[in-house]
Amino acid sequence: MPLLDIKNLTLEINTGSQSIKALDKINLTVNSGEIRALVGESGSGKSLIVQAIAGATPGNWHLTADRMSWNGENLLSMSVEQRRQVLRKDIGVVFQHAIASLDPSVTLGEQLEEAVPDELIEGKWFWQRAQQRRREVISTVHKVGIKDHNHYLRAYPHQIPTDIGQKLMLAMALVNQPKMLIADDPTRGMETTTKVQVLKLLSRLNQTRSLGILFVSHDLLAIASMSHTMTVLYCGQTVESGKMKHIRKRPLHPYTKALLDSAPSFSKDLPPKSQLPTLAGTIPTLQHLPIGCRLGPRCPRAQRACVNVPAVRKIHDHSYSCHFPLHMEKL
Amino acid sequence: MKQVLDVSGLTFRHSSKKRWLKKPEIFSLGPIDMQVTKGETIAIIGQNRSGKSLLAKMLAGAVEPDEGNIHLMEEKYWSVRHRAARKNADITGIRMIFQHSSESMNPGITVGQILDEPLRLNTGLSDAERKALIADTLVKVGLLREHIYFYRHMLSDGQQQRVALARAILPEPKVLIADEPFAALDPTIRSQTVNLILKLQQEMGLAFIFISHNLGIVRHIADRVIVMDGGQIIESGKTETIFRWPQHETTKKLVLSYQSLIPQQTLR
Repeated sequence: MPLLDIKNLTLEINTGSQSIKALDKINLTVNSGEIRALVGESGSGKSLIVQAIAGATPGNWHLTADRMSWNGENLLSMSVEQRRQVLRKDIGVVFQHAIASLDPSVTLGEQLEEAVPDELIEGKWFWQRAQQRRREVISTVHKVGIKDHNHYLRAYPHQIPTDIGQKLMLAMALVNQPKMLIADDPTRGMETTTKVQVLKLLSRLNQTRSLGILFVSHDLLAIASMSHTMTVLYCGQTVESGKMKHIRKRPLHPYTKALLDSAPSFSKDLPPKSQLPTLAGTIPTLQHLPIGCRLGPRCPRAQRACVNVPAVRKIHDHSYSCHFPLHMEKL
Repeated sequence: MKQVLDVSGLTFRHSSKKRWLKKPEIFSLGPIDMQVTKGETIAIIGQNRSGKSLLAKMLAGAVEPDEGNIHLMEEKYWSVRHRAARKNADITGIRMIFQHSSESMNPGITVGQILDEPLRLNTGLSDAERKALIADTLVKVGLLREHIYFYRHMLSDGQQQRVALARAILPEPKVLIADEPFAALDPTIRSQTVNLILKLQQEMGLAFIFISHNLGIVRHIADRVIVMDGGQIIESGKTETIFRWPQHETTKKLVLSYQSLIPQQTLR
């Protein structure tokens, strides 16, 4: 049974004069023990999905979904208190911009200690509990790869470098031992060695604790090395989703192919200094979304039929929405 | 092959004073020696706090080095003894693209004014000539002439990056320095920028020095790689040599972690 199951999630943002469809019928499932990658460029609505799952939605957002359930319970009809319990116990969230989402007025150590749930703390007296809490925090911080805990736990968020902040955010999400981790761009701007460390940690947790991970990023190199399944988003529409190895070998949607091409490490026979294949144009803003298939104006294979939204089609567990998919002759 | 940039013995020292019980913090960079030939692409890689950004800033003149000489086109560009040398030499020989290109642009003035400023201050061109040059450069980086009336917030990420690039290449520099030019960009926009830089380099014969964490792109476009650690150049050489036979421990670590991310070719 899937841990997280979302069907036809639609998000409309009301800006006063008009309402914008920021997410358009998104389907997403995360099974337990699965690493699901959510790929898309900026403005594709990756972070909106994360916020929608976490329940951090502002008042002018209008969220509708056919199904949005966590472990069989409907998230949308839950009371606020129940939903908070689910989030606190079972889901860990790493938000984008780690340092900005930490409390600037409290030291990192205190913030982390606050995040440790009471169930994990044993001890009869308050000082024993405080000690245990401290030990728990330090061991988690070590686990995510911060060695100098004395220095960093005493520091305030503005005093630490970005990659330490990202790791601390990860520690904060993992400290309550969740069933699923939602990581919104946890490796953004990290250097390669640190990135590999974090990715290894995540895949180890996935294997030992069968932690489900929703890994949101646009760093395909990181994603390809660890995730099992992948969902590609473009401008708030699901473009393609399926097993990682199928998508990598045979992308059906032109956008997925463009994304894969953009990482020169994937194509071994690319001569150095040659022009990289890419899509022309830029990502449209939310106010000026094209009708029909939103990739339309940038797509090299676009034809007349593309002004209608393509339906989701499925081949085994590989689903795509495109009128003129690639690689069809081989299937 | 003609040498464009010749750097020798470039050094920077930073130390905060010793207090009662506090140890003095010392960070020193260099001495750095490097030669760059015409049309060459050099990538600087290394871990955080290894002094990559500082080196780039010193080359561009944003930070004053404590010792050393910089020669541009075999003319003295900068040295400790002759601080004024830069005034006499071609002042626009080395240009830089900053790490966050959007934040390095003034939000209160139009793109036309942003691009006009370096020309007005550094060259003796007339108004009309400057305007024509700006329009030409905008077209060259793949924007429209009308973009001179745009403000920063009206442009997308990729377009902002193009404006930053246009600002850097306006006075026809010999050397272009970029600090993480691709890091904040989305994949398809990043490919567009890489293509654009490759094209401009071919047209103008620019030497391009850039800092990047993205080793895939480094491997794709760099001729030579410089690896830095703790303020020193620990290894430098041809890109393929560095990626295939890394010598130094730190380089090995970097390259290995990069290789571990690349999916291995599977048997079909």
